[in-house]
Amino acid sequence: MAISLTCPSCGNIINQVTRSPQMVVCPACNSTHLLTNGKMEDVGKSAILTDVPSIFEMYKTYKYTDWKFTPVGRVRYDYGDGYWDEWFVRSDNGKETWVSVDEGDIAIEHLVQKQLSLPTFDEIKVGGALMINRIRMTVVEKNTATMVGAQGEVPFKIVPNETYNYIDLLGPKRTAFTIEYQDGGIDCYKGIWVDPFEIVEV
Amino acid sequence: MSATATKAALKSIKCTQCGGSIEIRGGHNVKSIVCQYCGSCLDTKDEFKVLHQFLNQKRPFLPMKIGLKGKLKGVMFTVIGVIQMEERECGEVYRWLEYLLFSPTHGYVWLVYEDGHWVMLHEVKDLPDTPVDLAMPRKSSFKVRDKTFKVFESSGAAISYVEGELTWQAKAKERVRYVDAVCPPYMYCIEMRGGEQEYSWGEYIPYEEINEAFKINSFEPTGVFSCQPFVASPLFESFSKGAMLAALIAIFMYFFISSNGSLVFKQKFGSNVFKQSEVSKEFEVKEPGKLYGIRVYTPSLKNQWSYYNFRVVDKEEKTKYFDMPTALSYYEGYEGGEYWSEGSTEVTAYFKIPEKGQFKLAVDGEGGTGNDPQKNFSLSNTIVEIREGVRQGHYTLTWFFLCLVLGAPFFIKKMTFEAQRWADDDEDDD
Repeated sequence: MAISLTCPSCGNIINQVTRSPQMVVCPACNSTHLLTNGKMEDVGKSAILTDVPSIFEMYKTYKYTDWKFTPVGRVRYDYGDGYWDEWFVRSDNGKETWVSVDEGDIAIEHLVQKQLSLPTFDEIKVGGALMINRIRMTVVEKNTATMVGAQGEVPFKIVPNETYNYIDLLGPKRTAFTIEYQDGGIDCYKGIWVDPFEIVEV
Repeated sequence: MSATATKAALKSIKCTQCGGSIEIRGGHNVKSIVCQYCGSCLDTKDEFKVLHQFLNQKRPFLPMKIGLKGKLKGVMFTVIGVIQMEERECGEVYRWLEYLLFSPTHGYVWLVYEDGHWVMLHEVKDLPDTPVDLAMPRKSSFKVRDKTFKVFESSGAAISYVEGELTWQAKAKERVRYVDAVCPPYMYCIEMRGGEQEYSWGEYIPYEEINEAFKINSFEPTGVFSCQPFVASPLFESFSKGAMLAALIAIFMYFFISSNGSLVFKQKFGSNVFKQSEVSKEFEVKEPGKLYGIRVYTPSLKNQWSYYNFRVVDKEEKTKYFDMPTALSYYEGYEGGEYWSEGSTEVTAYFKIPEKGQFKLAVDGEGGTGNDPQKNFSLSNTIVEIREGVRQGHYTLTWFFLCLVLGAPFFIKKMTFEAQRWADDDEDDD
């Protein structure tokens, strides 16, 4: 059920639809707010994300096989050669997850383990193999990302221009893993790669 | 808190080699642009510096121009680049075009053009269920997305022409190894370029659809393409499949219905039947509605004919129910060193008796070798059997053949189409 919040900057009514967003970006004035105990604290302006066509639009509902989801937030990262969007989506059953979109490359992922015993970022090689949860995965990308900005609701504090290292992995049956090396820790996201032609707007 | 948003995309540049105008239509995953005027390959990730030049490129016939827009699978795409691939095999040269299309929502797809046929391909992360190597034999199969693909071709090809934007930095005569597997209308391709292996999922697109989407007039395709589906009018297909199903039911019914019945009478008649009428022993008719079959077998009939008149009479031999004239002939010999035969030494006739009771057969016969009966003609053995409850399946057999004739053209056409698909292509692609 949506909770109505009032933007402290412009007074716009924002309908909060996810359970526990940490950050809410006002769609009217683009002010970024830290949400604590139901109160919004203005922490500045988020970068206005260039409105380029994407397979998703905020608050529209989409279907992949029999899974329905609605994008309610978006974080954009720059990886030098381009950018990708991480869409924060809410499922029909209320579960929240991430869908990353880089032109036609789409992966649905969720955080599975905060800490994993993996080689350091420098030791990883593109094309090499890693065993994660007994699944043999191939490293398909190794890069550094810079946060550009955000839109809507996101479950963590966004810090534009913050950078982190990541690797993308591909495994059997479209299995996708993204390993993020950040603040000395490792976050592991597991999911699947999705064919964009299999996603339909409901 | 503020950050710079993604930079506005460039829409056109001047070639850093020749100054020619180049439109940029692709997304950020485009790695190079080949100038259509001078063939320079420009690095889109490093201020469009010239990486190398495709010298003396001969522009092939391009049914589609770069910059064209069209909707495929409900998605708007723009043609951003094209390459021509060339494969040489046993002195023959095969060439085809691969158009790179871009959509900001769905990314990059390839539109392959060969002999007027079009296939839309895009990169996927689906790997085959079983390991596939690049030297798999033709027609060997593997599964992807629960579909069984058959290897159509494992080969290698080289780039012979490049123009526009590409998602990698192509080089002149760059070679690729590939496996094309088909499950019409789908195609699954594994391509090895440099050290990278890519997997693509494709679907055959009728040329009319391409013409309509991009407002072009590409030629009508020739031959059968590897992943081209066999297409027939739905009415013709449904009718043919229905007819074939009916034929199957008819043949099943034939074997289910037809029966030789149970033996109720058997008697061997001697040569007397050719001199005077003989009467058989009695046989019983328990169920008058049933069909009875009388089988006459003359094992010693050779290069002769014989004629019998069977009369069904009551056991007192006072009432005759009906006559059953029956003729047999069997001839054989050698002509030009080859054996021949015609006719048969046995025949079956059918009858029904309207009432229960005991009956007899009265038999007299004649025979000969020529047109007229011979006076002293005789056969040592004439075996007569009567079977009760005979069921004939002649009607169902007739239906079987009729349905087969009606349904067969569709399946013959389909088989011919498949034979063409898998036939070796001996035609040169010019």
